[in-house]
Amino acid sequence: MYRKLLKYSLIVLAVVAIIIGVYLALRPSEDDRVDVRPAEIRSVEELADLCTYQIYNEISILDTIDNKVMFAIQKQVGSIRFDLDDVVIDSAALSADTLRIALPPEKIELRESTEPGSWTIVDTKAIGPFSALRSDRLSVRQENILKTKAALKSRRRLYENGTVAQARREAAESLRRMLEIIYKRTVDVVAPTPAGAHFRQN
Amino acid sequence: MNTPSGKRKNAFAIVSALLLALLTASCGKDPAPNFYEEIRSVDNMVFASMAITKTARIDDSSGEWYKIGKRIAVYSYDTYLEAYIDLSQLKPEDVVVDEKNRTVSITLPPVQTELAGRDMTLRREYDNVGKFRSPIDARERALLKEKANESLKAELAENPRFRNQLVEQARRRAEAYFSALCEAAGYKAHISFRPLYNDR
Repeated sequence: MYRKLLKYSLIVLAVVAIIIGVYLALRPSEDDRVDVRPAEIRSVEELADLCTYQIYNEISILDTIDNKVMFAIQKQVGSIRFDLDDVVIDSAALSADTLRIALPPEKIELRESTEPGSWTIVDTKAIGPFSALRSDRLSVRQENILKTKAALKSRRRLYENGTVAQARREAAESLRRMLEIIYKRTVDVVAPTPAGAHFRQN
Repeated sequence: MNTPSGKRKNAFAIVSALLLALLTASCGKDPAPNFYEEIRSVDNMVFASMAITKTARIDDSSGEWYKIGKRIAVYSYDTYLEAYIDLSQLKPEDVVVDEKNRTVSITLPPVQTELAGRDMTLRREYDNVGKFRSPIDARERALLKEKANESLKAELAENPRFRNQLVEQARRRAEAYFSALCEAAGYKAHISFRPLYNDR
């Protein structure tokens, strides 16, 4: 009787395994489920930005939102730049032997890289009460909040490690050189707030 | 210990030991955040920036009999293409002043373009996930972004209209900017650009 039971159990297991195998072989892959539309130009903006530093970061993000933990790896790219439309050069300034101007506040552009694998989710998990019964999936809103927090941390680090201060010094030098070539006279570029116009010391 | 109560005690001890092992294995310190940072000094003037939107759809409503309800979501994000000139290539001999006619001839370095990253966040344009289907998760969105990224790079390589439009706009802006600098000093400017032999 036990032998018959064992035999029937093995047959049932074999049938189930075949069904699962066929399903796995025939189901659509994740790639097939994604459909991409052609690119569209959203806007073109005219600028006059002096860019002195380009930044490349590869960071790991371990953060929590709404009792869910996310661990991901992100590649960030960006730049530190200065809007030269804010630099006023008028005839009064040019009448002096030395042209004196002030460096405008810095702008830090920080975005996700376009290299392959620039956003990789390593793991997500639910924590707290009844976590085993709750979903660990993050919504797009939750994911966007965590990414924004990570970007703010990266910006803060640029101020704290002196990168912005160095970028301001180099921008002042670059602007001085360019204007001396154009105006054929001595140019003095003053950089107020050496640590950065948006630097806040805690 | 072959009695029923003895066997139960053995089983309990084994299960407890296994649970303890699992518990201690899962309790670890969170990995400390680490990062790699690279800073490159450049001397670029960016004159135009183009935001290019890519939209992608996840559709898992394949009609399999055991999946009840739709599972569709549409997301979009922007990627940025910028046009700039390398100021380190601007030399004093590129600026020629004619005092008699009060004109300045400036030969600027060529306008180049490069990708300047993409939005970190995604815009949710639409979603329709049935009550019996699981929500779209972060891994699926990451895959969607990866596919959209590859598609955009292929389009930029095959279709020059994006770069051409951006370069044209950047040249106009550069001419306006340097002309304004010269006019502030009472000179009329003639702006030209050196040809580009290697574009990125």
